[in-house]
Amino acid sequence: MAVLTVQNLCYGYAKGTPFEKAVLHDVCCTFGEGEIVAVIGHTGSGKSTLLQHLNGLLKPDSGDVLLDGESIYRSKAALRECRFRVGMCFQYPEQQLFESTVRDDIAFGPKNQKLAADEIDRRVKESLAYVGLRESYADKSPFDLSGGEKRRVAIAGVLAMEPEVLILDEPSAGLDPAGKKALLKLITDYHAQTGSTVIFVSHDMDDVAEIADRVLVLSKGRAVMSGTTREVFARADELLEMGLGLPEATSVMLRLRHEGLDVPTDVFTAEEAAAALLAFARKGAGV
Amino acid sequence: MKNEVLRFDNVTFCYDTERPEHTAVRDLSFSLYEGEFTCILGHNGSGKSTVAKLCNALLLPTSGTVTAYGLDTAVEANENEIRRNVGMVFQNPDNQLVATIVEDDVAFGPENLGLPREEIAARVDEALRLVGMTEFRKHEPHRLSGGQKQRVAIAGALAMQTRCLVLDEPTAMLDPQGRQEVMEALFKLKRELGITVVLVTHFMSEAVAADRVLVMNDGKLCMDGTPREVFAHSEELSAIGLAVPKPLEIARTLRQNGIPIDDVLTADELAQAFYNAFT
Repeated sequence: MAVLTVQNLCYGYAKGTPFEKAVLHDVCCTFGEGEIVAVIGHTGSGKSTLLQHLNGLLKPDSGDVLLDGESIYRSKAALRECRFRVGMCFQYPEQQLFESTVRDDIAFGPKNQKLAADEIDRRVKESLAYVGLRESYADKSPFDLSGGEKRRVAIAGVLAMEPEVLILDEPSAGLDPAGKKALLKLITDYHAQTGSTVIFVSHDMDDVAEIADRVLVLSKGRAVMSGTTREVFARADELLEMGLGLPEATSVMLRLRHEGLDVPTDVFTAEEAAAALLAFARKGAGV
Repeated sequence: MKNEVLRFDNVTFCYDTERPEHTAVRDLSFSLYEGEFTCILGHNGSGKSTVAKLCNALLLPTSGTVTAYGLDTAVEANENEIRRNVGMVFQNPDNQLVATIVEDDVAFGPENLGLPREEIAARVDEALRLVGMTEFRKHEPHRLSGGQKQRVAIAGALAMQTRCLVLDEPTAMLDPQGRQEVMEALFKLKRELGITVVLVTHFMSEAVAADRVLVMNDGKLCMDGTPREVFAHSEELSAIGLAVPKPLEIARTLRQNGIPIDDVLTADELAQAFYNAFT
């Protein structure tokens, strides 16, 4: 069952000025309940613009966005409801922290939802736990935290609204390997515990291979591919042509295939690659 | 004898001397040499950006000395010459371009030196050529891609005839193509001009191609060697929050299972090694 459906969406920036630029052309896609979907594409392919339609931050020139089958633009009330149900975490969200304490910053969303004080309190605590920060962080100033911690506070602010759909625009950009790993775990944990739908943009194909169920590929404002992670990465040549990367493990297998070794190429993680090469070696050695 | 470009002698740096727990760099000593491509690795908060800023007197050591091309960075009179020789490029491409046209941005430094017009024009031409941005010289910087913006920032340093480039995570905010463009530009500068490059990064794949890798942890230098030497310590690296390149990880697993493959750093090397082992 699709939670979000994008129908024939067209959008251009700076309409009616000399800088007018069409960004999205007739995009159709669906996001199923409980899925983790990665949106990938070259810079300027329209990924962020598409995401900003999913909770009505932008209004399409034509086409529609449906939440549970109904247009999110049908009324102001519907739009407001959509913003509570679809939580959006922008790129570099740590730049948007503004309150004087971590607690107030996280509580900002729930307060706008007009929740009771004790419910807000519960959500602040729970969100901090989700992002792996101790409760003692609640009283700190967000500006005294490290970059990685700030990002987690910003994400906690979105989680506190308990969105059914969580959208993240390049959540792991700029983090070190350990920070990246922790962030991916945070996303998959939240997903496992709440069953919510997660939609994220990433340039790191290893991240995509690790957590996504399905991948949507945008190119020049069009949705050009959509399928399971396995199906999409199997079309390596087309991805490379679009200037996109591949998981590193897949690159290794493709190169071996290129050398004439009959190894499988639908391999996306280091563990899978090692296992596949091992199997190949044993077969070759007649073991 | 290799020429010393940068030298850290027992350098400690503390952002707030009243709170010594905020010490970012502790008793650091090392030298970097002319023409070397060095990567500084470390997790967030390990002190690597502080090291970058200490290189050209943007920060001054709390104790110890930093010497750039033989000049002490703590001596104010040396500042201009140090900044001219040691150029800096930061992480966010949007924070370091100042002009409304690419070529004006690149000309900003040399104009401040009061050079003659022709000399400035010649330097801008050459700098843009080196980073492959000549065709964009009349463009507005804010309409360029991230990788293009970073290359303009690098051109700005080249127009000052910088001999050493220090880059603080210049590719962290770029897409894969932008990253590749910047890395290619840096290797070209090293190759063609012999420029010394100091690259702070946490992309292991970038460190793989360097001449030398320094690993920082908790404000200290914990490893120093060629990429091959450093990545041989995979357990120590993961203990301090870093990863080893994926091809190496695969090679290790294969070797543990009896397939004779040496440590490799890139997908190409792994494919080659595996191919050789089986044909």
